[in-house]
Amino acid sequence: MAMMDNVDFLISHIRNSFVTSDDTSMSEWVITECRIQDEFDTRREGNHRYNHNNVGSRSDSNSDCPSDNELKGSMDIHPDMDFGAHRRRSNTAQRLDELKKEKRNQSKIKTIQWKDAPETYKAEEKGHLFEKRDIPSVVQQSSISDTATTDEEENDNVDAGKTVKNSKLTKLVSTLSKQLEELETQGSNPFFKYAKFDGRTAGGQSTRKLEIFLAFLPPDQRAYPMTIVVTANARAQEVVGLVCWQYTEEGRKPDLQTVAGQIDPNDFLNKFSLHMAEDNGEIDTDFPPIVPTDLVSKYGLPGFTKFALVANAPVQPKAVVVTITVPNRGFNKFQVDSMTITMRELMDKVIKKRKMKVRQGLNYTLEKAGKSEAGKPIDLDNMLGSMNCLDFYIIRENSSRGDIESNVEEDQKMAESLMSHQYKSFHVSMVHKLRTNTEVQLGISGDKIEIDPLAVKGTARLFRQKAMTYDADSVAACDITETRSSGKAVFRMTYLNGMDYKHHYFEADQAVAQEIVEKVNNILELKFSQVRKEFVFTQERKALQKRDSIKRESMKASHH
Amino acid sequence: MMVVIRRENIWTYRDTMSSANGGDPVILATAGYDHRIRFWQAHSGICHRTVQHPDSQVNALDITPDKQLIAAAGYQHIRMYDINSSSPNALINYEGVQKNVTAVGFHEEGKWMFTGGEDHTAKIWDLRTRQLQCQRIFQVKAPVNCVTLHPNQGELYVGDQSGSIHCWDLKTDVNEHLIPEQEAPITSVSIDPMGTMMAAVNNKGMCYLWTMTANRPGGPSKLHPKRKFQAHSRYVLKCLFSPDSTLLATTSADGTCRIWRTADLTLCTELKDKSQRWVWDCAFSGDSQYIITASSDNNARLWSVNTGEIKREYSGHEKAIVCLAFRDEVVS
Repeated sequence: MAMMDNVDFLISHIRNSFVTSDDTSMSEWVITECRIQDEFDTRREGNHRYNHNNVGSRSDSNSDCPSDNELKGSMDIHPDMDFGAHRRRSNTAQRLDELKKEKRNQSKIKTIQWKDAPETYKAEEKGHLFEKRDIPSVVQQSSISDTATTDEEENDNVDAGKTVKNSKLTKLVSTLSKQLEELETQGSNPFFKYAKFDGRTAGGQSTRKLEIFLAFLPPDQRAYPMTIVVTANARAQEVVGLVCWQYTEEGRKPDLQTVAGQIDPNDFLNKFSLHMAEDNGEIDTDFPPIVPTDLVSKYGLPGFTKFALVANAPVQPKAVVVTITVPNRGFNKFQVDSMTITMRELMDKVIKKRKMKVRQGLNYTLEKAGKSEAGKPIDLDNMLGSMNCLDFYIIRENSSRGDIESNVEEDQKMAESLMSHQYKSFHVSMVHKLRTNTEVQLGISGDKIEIDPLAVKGTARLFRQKAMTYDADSVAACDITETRSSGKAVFRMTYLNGMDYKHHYFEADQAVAQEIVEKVNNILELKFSQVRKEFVFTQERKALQKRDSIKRESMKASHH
Repeated sequence: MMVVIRRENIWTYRDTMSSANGGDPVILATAGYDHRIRFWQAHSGICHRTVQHPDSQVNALDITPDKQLIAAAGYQHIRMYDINSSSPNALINYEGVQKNVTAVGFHEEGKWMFTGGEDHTAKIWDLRTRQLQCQRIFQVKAPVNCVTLHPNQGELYVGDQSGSIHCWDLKTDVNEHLIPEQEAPITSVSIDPMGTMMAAVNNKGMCYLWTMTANRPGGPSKLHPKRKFQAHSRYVLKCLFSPDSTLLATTSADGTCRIWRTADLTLCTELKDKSQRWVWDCAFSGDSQYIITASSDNNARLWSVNTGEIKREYSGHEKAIVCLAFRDEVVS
């Protein structure tokens, strides 16, 4: 080997061997010192120390011209690498490992080198290996007829036309065509274009495994995240797409259409958002939703592999209440489960309930509420969802609803008080003692009152309002405490916390505040919970005491 | 004389395997410049596996007749991968070739493999281990662009950069060559499954058609020039007859694939898409109803031959796709 008679290489090789096999690192230290000495000597002696000519006159060492690296020892070893600190495995050791691994992989791969045949090819000897095959007779036949007529083009045309017909007659079907047909009848996954981000089939591309909690699932399933493997080049919105694809592909229920309404695969990103999640699947509210165009690899810390997918649209379409007013005879309210019910079905419900008589020439129709809609019958075959309206009048054909709108308002009020247990949400600002107001959403229903912070840009994280929920039974009172000339009003909600009554103050437009206070009070009245009772009792006692004290004061005064 | 061949090779082993595991009847694989081979579910468009092809792009792909292995021709080697395993690595590596291997294919019983390359040769490799009986070399004077096996399994057609098509009769070792057009590299040659027609295309956009009279004793099939026509305005990269021999597809650097009726060479369909770039390779479904194309825009596409409509897109490659391998089955 040309290299082996290179003195410099040999020395450097021996040194390297010492260094790499010595875990105490002492040899490295010694050798490094020694090498510096060497180089000094070499320079002084003008290369006479290792006389190449002594080793062999035809040595390649001069022409090989050992590079700087070789003289220094090796590319792998730098004297200062780990000196003084604790000693890591050397680069050489790591590289040896890599080589070993590669070799192991290689050993699995069988390598076959091209070799020429031992002797020159002779047809008599090896001809049998390259025998021609007859092309199947059925095919052959048609091919003969084909070739027979090829010289004349017109004939050719006719002939080929026949072949086409023949092939159509036999009706060949391939497996692929069959599969395509089957898939077409099944309907394909609308999120298909995101399948390419599936890291499970990416073979060697860098991928990330993420656990996605699906916040739109029923509570009992929510704790089990869906595991996806995504290619590192995917952006957050593509992760959402991949989740939707995999979810649909796995045939999970409830399907995404019911979760987020009609989904257009090209424009569904606004329906979902991706959040950081805690280990238990709770959404980490300290962070805003992930920007859809961010690469997932950006969230590259090993711990941050848990996300939650939130459907932004209402989870379960809430049952809607439709009001149908019968002129001068009050109204009916129906709870409707789906917006796909036709208007005719709705009308039939009223007619059935009211036992209205439908005789020949005495047909009914529906009109939307609102003065401008009067006299405009709607198409009864349309669905409720397309109406954009939940209040209707039932009108006998050829008659009008008359002037009843005024009565309706009364009824409306009445209805509202009866419906106060139904969920309604308001945007209000929450008043704090020491800092500026924060925008919150106040959700009020018969069971509870929820305070949810609304994300406002620029809100300091420190001051972010926490979401709170109060059981309706712990709410003691709600009243307006202040009306301002600006048209706003401040109202107070009192609730029992442990043994003490606490307050939240909110500010809203007067009308809104009024509505909230009325709604809450309606609920309190209807429920008349223990807390409420005690609160009212203490309030009354206080008032009594006050009155008594005033009485006493006045009596005292009169005595004087 | 009975010839006893010791079949201690992978083929017999594979044969017993194939009956056991069945495998997918439809196989589609694509590859190109991103050093990966992707396997697709052809009907759904889902990529179900990706394997690595380190160090080199893939120039050509072909599936063994038993559908167990896929061969990828690259720079200085041909690698074989197991189709039905999940291993990302190659199983066999054929080496000892200079420069790029540009074509690869198999004898229909898997006896041997043929390749063509930039080293100016076409080679036949004996696939049985430790046997060199079939090893053959066919030397030409220019880089080989394409090698096509006649359906009779006994003739190889080699198209080269100088514009020659060499017709090599394997048994008798007799060869002839023809030059449709001087200095116009032959990019692809196709012979219809009935062995009655041969088409060749070149980089000037021309397509040449011959009829073949089969099995002349002692030499390759006889070719009768039939027609020459301008198939595309730019390079034609591939030509291919449909399994029922009624159609001829040509793919081109102009971003289209054109399908011609072999009867009168009228244009049947032009497969075109805004985003499609050079179309390098194509394959027909078993019933000639669909065609799959591979393009430089990183996508492969499945088209309906009759309507020219895109049925599926196979997207996932990060660089140009230049070759594909496809196997379909005909049922009834």
